[in-house]
Amino acid sequence: MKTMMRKTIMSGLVATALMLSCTNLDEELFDSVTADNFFKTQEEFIAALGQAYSSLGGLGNHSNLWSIQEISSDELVITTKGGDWYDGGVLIQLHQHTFSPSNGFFNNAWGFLYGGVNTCNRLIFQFEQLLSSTDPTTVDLANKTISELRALRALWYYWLLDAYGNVPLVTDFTATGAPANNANFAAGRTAVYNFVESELLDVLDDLPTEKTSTTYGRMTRWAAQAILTKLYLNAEVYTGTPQWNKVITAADDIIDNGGFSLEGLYADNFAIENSGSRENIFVYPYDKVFAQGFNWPMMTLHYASQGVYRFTMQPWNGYAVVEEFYNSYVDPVANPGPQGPVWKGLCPDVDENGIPDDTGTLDERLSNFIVGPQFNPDGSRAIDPAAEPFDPDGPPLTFTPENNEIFPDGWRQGGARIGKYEFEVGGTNNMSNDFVIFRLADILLAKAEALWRLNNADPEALTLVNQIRDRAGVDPFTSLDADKLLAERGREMFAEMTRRQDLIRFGKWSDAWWEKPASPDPKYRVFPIPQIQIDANANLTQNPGY
Amino acid sequence: MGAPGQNDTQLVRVKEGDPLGQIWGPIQIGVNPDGTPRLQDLSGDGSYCNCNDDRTVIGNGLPKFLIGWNNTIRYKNFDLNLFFRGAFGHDLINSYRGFYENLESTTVGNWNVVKTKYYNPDITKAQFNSSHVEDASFVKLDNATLGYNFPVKASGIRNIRAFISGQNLFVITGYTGVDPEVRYFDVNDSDNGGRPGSPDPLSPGIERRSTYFTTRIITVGINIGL
Repeated sequence: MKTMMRKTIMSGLVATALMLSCTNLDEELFDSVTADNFFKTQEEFIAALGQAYSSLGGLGNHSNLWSIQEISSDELVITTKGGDWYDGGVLIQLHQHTFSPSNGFFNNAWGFLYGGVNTCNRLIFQFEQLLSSTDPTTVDLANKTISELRALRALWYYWLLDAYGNVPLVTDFTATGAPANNANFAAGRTAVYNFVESELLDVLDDLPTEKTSTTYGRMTRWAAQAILTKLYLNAEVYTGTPQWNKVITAADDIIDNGGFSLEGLYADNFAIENSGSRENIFVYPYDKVFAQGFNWPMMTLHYASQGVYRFTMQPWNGYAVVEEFYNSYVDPVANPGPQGPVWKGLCPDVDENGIPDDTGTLDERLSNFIVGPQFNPDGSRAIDPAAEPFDPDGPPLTFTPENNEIFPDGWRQGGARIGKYEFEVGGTNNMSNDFVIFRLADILLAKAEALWRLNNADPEALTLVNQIRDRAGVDPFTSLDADKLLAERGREMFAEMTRRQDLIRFGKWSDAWWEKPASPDPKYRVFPIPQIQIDANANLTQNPGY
Repeated sequence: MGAPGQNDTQLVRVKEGDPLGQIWGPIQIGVNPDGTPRLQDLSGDGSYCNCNDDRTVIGNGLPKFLIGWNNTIRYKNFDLNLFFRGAFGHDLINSYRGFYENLESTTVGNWNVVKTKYYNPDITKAQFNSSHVEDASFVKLDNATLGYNFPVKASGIRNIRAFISGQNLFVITGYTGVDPEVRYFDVNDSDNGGRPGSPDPLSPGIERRSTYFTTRIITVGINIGL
């Protein structure tokens, strides 16, 4: 009996096992969202798009695209301060234009940019699956979303084209194999230029034109026109053929139809709560909690500035402003305007009220800098307890426009600091200000330059530049020349990732400036393709000269 | 290496056709009058350059061989179990020394200078080089347990054993850092409030500053068998 029962149970188990076997292994997911059960409503489309925009979060970090663009220009420098900030010499190489493909910053920026491209490619591929849907609403939403993603991808390629020149065009998420760039540098760079232009022109009319909280920080028609304006402005550098008339056409669309206007106060565009700016065209909306990575207070301020702003973390004392660049604001000849007390040089002497005894132009855009003696919230001087004996200002913290040397013992308090974006008292290493990628002032100056390039006596060019100067509270120019245009762009666009391309376009990139000898070799007008990428992909051709 | 001042400093080389584990950097041959380490001009072009021409393989992060020896000795009612473990022939970059074994005012503020047998007061600059790469061969007593079995007469109890056990009792090594253990993975630097990254198996042989001391654990116990 016992044996028989055992047999029955056994055969029963075998039968059950056979019945459970089946061939359909598709699983139904209940705990996560997939492409099959997502992408139904407009909210879900926007949520998926978020991944494409969050790729922009690397803009505000150290050692990424912004760093290579800025440290290599005459705006900013990171001096070696004894044992701090040497970092393998890569910062000095960037400033002095002696950089090589092994510089790790180039690989960081490359990864940041192609990471953005790849996310766009993936989402475009996913949304293309929806185009065969029978629901016309879904198809319509998918088409619009694809257009937006193509515009964003064009922005990544505009940055790649600007930084590295001849880069491989990867547009298909399903493509396998190592991508190649053109063996001919000029032809390759022109091909990327043409791609950016044609993509943007193609999607322009599909992009939203309204400015609401839904389209804030997203690719609108105006953001796409801003990319085109900047692309055309540098067309001669990129392709050899200038496109000044196209600059004017693209800029005019933004100026006439975009509904943007200059903010009354320059600094309002960069305030902690700057999402209300009427001037900003395209931003990355950082948040100290939900969208972290905007690290400027750490990157530029002094260790002892922690007490000044009651930050939860100690700043790193890195980025400082080159003195000549700072002086382009306060110099009454180059920048005529109302004169008053300003910090200059070593700013050693103040009167009994703490007012500097030097005089210079009171440009409202001096809010770009943090300079002079620094005070704690209780009114006491911030103190650097480890001040070097050779530091002329001693332990009380004073940001002096003057700096002594780039290596090996830069003054710890040397150089004005980047005050462009308002720092939050009691803040963390992450800021909540929205990072401005394009704004109207840039577009106005681009149009002014294009008009001036076509006709040096164009009155509208002068009017546009003076519109910018008027807002900054300085005197209007009576005429324009290349130096004035470049300097005005510098003062207005400081630390907004335009200085390098402006210097190249005006033929000043190879000039000598502070702690940088002349760099006549034309190879430095683009950055090298990172050695790590060359090693990993035999199809890549290094830029000429590297 | 990391902040301050030694980001973007090459520490390892991964070369096609070569073994993994190559520690890569300049060779120190003395001290310059300004207190910086004098580094060898390997390319022979007349001066040291901060470039790969003047860097070479200065260590090997992977061990040549490992040993493990587990032995139990019984004498009368006593038993003693010992577990020795060792690794030989691997080097480690001692990051603590690379940053703090110098009189560099901005790095350590002249406080808390690391002073090992390699300490040279003439060095006033934190700059990674061959002098921070050490042979980290070691033998460790991972575990030792001494037990005593009481003779039992009472019914209902089969045995009673008392023991004392210790883990990480001693290390024999010439390495001056925190732990000579082989680092098969690199977790990257955790400076400026950052967290260690995901383990990288291509860069063995680096002792990072996030290394904490190994704890020694002593356990005392009684086993009663019913």
